[in-house]
Amino acid sequence: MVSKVLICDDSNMARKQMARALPDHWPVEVTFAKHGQEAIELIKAHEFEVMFLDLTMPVMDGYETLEEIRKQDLPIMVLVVSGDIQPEAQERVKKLGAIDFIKKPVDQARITAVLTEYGIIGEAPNE
Amino acid sequence: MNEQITLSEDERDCYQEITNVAMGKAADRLARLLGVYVVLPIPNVNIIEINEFKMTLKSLEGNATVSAVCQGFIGAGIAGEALLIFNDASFTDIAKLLDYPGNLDKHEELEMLMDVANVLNGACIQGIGGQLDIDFSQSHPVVLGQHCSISDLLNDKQNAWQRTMAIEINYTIEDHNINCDLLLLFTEDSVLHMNRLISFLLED
Amino acid sequence: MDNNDTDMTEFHWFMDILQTIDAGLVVLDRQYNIKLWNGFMENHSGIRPDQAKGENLFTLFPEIDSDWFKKKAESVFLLNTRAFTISEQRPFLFKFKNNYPITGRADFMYQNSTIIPLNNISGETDHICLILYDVTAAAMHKIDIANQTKQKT
Repeated sequence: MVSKVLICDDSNMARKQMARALPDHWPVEVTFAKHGQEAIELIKAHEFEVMFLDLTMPVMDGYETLEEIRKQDLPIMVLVVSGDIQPEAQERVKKLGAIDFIKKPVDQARITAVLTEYGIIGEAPNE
Repeated sequence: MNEQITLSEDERDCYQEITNVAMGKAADRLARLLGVYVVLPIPNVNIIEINEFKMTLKSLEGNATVSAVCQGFIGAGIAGEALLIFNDASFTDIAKLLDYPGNLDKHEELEMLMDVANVLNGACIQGIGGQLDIDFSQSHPVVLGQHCSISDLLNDKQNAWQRTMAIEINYTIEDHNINCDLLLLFTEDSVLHMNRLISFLLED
Repeated sequence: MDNNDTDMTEFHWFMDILQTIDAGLVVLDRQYNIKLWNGFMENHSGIRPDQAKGENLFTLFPEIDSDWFKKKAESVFLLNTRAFTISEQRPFLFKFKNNYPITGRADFMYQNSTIIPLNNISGETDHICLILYDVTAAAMHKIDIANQTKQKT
């Protein structure tokens, strides 16, 4: 069963890095969005299981995006992935409904751990 | 023969993202140090000519309300300076946050400026170095125009360089009247070198 | 056992400090081949320690006047005493960029240096250490004063 994942970041490089950091054993279909507004439109049109969301973006930033998702009651799990790692940034996003905060630069081990912790993926198959 | 430095969209995007992460680390340090929230906008990455830079310096000159602190950094073929430009109105608020007692005299103001610059510059430079796997060494902070006037600086620049890559970051502290601009300036040869380094990050 | 641990910690501290200190450290053998190259030298030259070690100083840095330098260094090898070079005599040994390449007024780093003897177990000076100091700020200051004086006369 393939999981549909949305990666929302204004940086092309960051989107690619995020995609590369997803666990190898996780069957996914990845879609990219450049900012919050694009992400909201995509979420309303398709069903996504998880979104990896950046905070500093033009047009609609991460905070505004989280607020929109809450306002419109959109069914999606949001993991914030950001370089803005201040204590208050982390607090704010959790209050706005993000399930967790992942610091940039991302690494696969951390992403796998978080996804496993929230039951989004099962344990890795033994090789 | 000087190879002229240019930035492709991908390279600009890459520097923006690297800076974004480094800024985040710097803001985090400042946030913990001062117990505040730092507003982080998207950094601006541009190649600027020496004349444009001279205009920036000129706007600092004779402007009693602005101060600038610079710190050089160097490592692995990359060299540059971090130039932190403060709005003087910010001083009283910064002093309050840092718990400096009462009214500051000129010396104390300068010392405080240099300390704050050191925190921001240091975190940013190390943050960039960490992502490029470079251990930058940093020189001590110097207040621009302290040892010589800015006019001297402008006149002396015998076109030692023509172009620099400038990354501009604006830091604002929420609920306080504190605003400063950090300009990360890289020498021409550094840019050529860095473009090569980041090419591996840009591969698909 | 405690003493050994303390010694090791202190040793590591010293190593860290020598790597990050704002002064260049270069150890040379009798043939002026590089045996040690610290972080300052690495960062300012762009040459890593593994690239520098074993190489001849004058081959890697042709800007250094080898006759002049050898004369200074020989006195250290033979007499087991220090020798000095100052930026007033020669602005620099190594052609390094100014630490402030954008806003700085000097086109290169002005340098002073101290050459110290390093002795082996038999007490012979078979190596020397070159300690390189960045004196750009002081040098520019002197130049400024000299220029001001010139203008007044």
